Amino acid sequence: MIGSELRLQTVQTAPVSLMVNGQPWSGDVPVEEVLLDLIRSRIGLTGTKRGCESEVCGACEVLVDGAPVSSCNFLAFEANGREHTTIEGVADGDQLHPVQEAFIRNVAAQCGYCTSGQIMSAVALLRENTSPTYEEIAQWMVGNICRCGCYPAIARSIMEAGEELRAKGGANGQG
Amino acid sequence: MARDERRGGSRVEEPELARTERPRVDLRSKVTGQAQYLEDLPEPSNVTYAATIRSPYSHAEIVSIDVSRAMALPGVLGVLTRDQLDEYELNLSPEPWDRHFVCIDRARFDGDLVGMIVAEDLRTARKAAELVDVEYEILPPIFSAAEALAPDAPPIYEEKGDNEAAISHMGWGDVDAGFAEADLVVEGTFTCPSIFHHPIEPCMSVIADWTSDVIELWTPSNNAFDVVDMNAQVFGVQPEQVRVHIPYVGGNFGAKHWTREMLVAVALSSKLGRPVKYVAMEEESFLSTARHAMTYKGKVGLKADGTVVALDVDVDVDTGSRANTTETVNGQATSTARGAYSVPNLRARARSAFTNKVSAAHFRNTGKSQPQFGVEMLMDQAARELGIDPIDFKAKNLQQRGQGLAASGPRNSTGSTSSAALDIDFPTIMKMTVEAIGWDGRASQHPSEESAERFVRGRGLAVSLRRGSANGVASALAVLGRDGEVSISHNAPDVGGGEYTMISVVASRTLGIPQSQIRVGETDTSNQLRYGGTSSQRTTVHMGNAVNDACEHLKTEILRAAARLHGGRSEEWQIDDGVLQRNGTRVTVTDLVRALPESETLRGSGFYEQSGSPQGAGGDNNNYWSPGVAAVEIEIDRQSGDIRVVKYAALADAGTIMHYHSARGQIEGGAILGLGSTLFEEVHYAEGQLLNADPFQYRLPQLGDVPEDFQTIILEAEKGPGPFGAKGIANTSIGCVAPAVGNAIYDAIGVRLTSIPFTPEKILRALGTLPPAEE
Amino acid sequence: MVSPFRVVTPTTVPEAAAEMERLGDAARIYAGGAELLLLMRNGLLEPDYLVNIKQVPSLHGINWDGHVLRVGAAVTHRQLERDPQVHAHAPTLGEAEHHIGNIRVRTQGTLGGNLAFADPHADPGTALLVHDASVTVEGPRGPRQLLLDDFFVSTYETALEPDELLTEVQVPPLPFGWGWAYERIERFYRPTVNAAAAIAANDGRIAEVRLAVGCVGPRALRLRELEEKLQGLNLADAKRVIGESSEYLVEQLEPVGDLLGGADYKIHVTGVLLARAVEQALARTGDRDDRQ
Repeated sequence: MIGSELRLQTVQTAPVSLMVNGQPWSGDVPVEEVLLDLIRSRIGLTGTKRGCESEVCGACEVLVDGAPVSSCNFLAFEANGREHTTIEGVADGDQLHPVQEAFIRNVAAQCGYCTSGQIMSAVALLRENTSPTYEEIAQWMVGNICRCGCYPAIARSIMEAGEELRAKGGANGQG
Repeated sequence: MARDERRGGSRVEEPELARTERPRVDLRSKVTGQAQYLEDLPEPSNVTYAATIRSPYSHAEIVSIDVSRAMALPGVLGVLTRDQLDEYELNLSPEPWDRHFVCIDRARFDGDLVGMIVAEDLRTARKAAELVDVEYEILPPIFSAAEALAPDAPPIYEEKGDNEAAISHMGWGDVDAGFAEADLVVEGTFTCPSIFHHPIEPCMSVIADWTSDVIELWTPSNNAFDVVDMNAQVFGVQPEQVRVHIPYVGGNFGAKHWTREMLVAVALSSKLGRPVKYVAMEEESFLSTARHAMTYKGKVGLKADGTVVALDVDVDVDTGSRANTTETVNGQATSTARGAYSVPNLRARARSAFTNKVSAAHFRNTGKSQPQFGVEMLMDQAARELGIDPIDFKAKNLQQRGQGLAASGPRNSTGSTSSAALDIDFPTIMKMTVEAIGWDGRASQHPSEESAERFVRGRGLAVSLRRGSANGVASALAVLGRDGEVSISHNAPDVGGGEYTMISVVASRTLGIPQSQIRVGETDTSNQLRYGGTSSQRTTVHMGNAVNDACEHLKTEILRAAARLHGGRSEEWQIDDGVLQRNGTRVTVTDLVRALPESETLRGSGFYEQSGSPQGAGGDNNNYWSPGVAAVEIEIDRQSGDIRVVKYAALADAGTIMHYHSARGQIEGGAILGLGSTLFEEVHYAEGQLLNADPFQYRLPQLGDVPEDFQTIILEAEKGPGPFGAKGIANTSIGCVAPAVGNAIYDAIGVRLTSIPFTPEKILRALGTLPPAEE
Repeated sequence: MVSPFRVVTPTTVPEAAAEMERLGDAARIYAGGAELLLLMRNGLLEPDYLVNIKQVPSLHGINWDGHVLRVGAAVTHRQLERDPQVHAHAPTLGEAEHHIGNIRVRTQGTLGGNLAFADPHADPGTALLVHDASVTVEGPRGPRQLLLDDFFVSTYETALEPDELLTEVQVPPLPFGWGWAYERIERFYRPTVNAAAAIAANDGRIAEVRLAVGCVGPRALRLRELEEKLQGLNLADAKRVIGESSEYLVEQLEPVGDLLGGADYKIHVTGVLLARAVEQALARTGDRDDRQ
């Protein structure tokens, strides 16, 4: 049993070595820590946001081995040995990803708080399917809530980015 | 607009500006994760963390508070409850019952702030908050304005003696005579429940630092000087001793202002001598503020030809547990009660009541969406009873171009009560909007065989009319740096509407300098540039004009310097694309400024004020008419009651568009926000509790709820008082959604639902598939 | 914030069971964590230990052995949604999996976790019941197999002993020529009402039928009396009988009015979805004469 019933002190840590946006990171992490806090506080990448902390809104979405995950409810020690992509890793240096360029062009972001999650989700979708229909976009993006109501511009952006990726010959170039 | 046969309607074409305008200035940082919000800011090195102690009861006497267990935790630094309040009093209102920033005698809503506790780390602070022992004596809660205003209702504030928070009247003519001459009288009651703004960035976050003689705050708020003034008032310091920084705001919609939590954090910071950081969990975010629930009871008298002769409206407004914005909202309820209609005999009354709910406050299109729902539904109902098509009824009765609205109005209103002549033609803009969804604005004919079909469609039309924005001031400063860049200082927080971009566009156009050479500053009140806040769709007009003014002054200085250094008179010089020109001589602005002595800085100050009585015979200066139209086609599944929006079109008139994609985003975003309350959103109170302050049980609009066929029409028809003829449009689309959909439901199934959200269950009860709901 | 805990990471099922026995009440099984972590973050659950079963190889894998589809408890919804074997042998399950939550919940959440958590507002259980699916649970006393129908007991309650974990789900395919359907509506972010049907048809009439509903009652269940009544009926009669079965549904499901809707609304929609599921399933049968 854990000593203090107050549960204030970490009782176990785990060694974590992972890649984030192509860069290695390692350290010892309390087992109760969530990936969101590891990314934001330990690694210092604050582009991923804390929203509802309930897997509903998508503000905290990152890609773990390419798959979309709610980092708010993903234990950091599980990230050991895996490759992560956050919003900071979507562009290729100064060259923005077609999704990012489309978002800017269409103003698919207003307050911008949900934007990181929207883009991570869009990037993952386009890797699977570069010509999604509106319905397919709606189904995939159901967990990315935008209260500012950028949805029409987001859908447009995803379709345009898909076209651009097809023209470039596939979705696997970036991110 | 071009005809699009495939869609069966017109496709709205984008203006040229859509292709030529520069991207938004904030978006590169937002799409790359660089934009900083409150929780991204580096923390002060000796920061401490706060957690709140909140009442779990909607109404309860606070018998005792014991903090001993909490304070005994290692790492706990301090606590503030009513027992630790010594010299601080909060004069939020003249009324003594609304004074304090933590509960004193009672908790008055589920989540009411009993206190705050601070520790070295967040986990300890939250655990300590759980260890505070509060003894409550539960009292029966009141959850509706009707209940609160009943004659024998126990007062929520005993000192006040009753629960009436505000009352206002508006009217003219003689309604009794009007009804006497009416051929038909139609009555209806339409209700909107409490809803929550739910920005994705939680509310109430703050870093408070009162460890010097300046109170320094970082917080996502839409109004920096509101925060300044409240802190100055509460803590008895000069406004210049309060410095507020506002980073990017992750959604506002009216939810982010000064808060009680902020003030407690400031007080604790002073006591502890260290900065205090408070961030709310998602469930706490729901507790910040809400939108006023309202019940609109209307009675309209008409002639057989459809002319409105009298309107009598009573609105009950639920202001929750505190008197935030109560006078304003109550006033809006009366002034919006008649919508945009020409009503010769009017009596409107609104009463606001305290209830044991989260305090209601500003919510995008404050105080107007709910009465607009009432009047647009009532008038559509009247049209239907007379057998008149919706568009014809509206064309007959809406205020006409060139007419002014009538005389008296309530306090603090920005509603459509001005005598200034209306500059828009509703029949024209309604026709454009309905055509965009392939409709002619007429009632749908449903053959009787259709009633066996699973799906049925209907179409609805609704309009809104705002009188510009609330009064206020705006100030800006434009400074030309030695690198040739112009820095604009201001305090209009960017809450997502493209505020910084508008500033950049206006500065660029005024100066003749490319946007790439304009730097828009962040909100920091130490520059003392007062601004009334990014709200009430005012920023393009107010801050735009202040920036325009500042840049005009700067331009004058630049031209004078050009004349001084390169000859001629300043009037002979022009600036275009960053280059000064006179008679073939060309000098870049950058080269000019580099040739000046180091001690000389070229700058310009700008100011704008909108004041004056928003109602009354004189009208209000510098305000403008801002219309909205919505046309919607919906599909109802008669078996399950599900409703789907199939087509939507929204129209606004921007005067002169500053940034097309931002303007479109405002219209689309407002409509989608409105869709939430129309179909899904409701804050539920029952069994003495707030039941759904959590993300699982509060349904927000998702991408799939928005039809692919969604069009926005943004006109540049009638010029406004903003820069280059601009008007504000941000809040015109939200209030049209609920009545447009409600009218479409009637069009589809011949039954009028009278309360939002329009749920499948309500549809089934309206169809008779299910029995009426139990009361 | 999630309170501190310890994690143990067994690599075999007997090890995991031994840990559960040793640690007792203080431990919880951790698979995807999609449900568990939400409760822990809210402070509703504060286990001292998490028994992380994700490193147990036998709990992964989707395998068709020629007779039955075997799904390891730690298989994610996303894996199930995309697996060709699922689409070939248990498309009802594939359809249900496709609708779960959102793409992130499907990436993190596991079938075993979903079934063991036993939230009635769930997709897979309803679909699996029309397959007469079974589960293997294992504890210190060894493995035992039971029908999913017996595994579900009530809301958040299963037949798992405190020292047992769910290890595998067995999904027999529907017999050849049967049609299937899965229907659901969602008012918030989880299914509000759902229904599944599996039907064999003969000459346009229902020869055999399996019906399951979830969400409304304390657990997903089969509607066996209604199944009997539908035997031999054509689509129109079947719809009529379903439409007349409100009382029966109320008795079976014990609906409660809440924020999702009134009890009568839920029963009504249950009937609507059952009728749609029967129609869809009939249309999918090998027998083509029923298409009107």
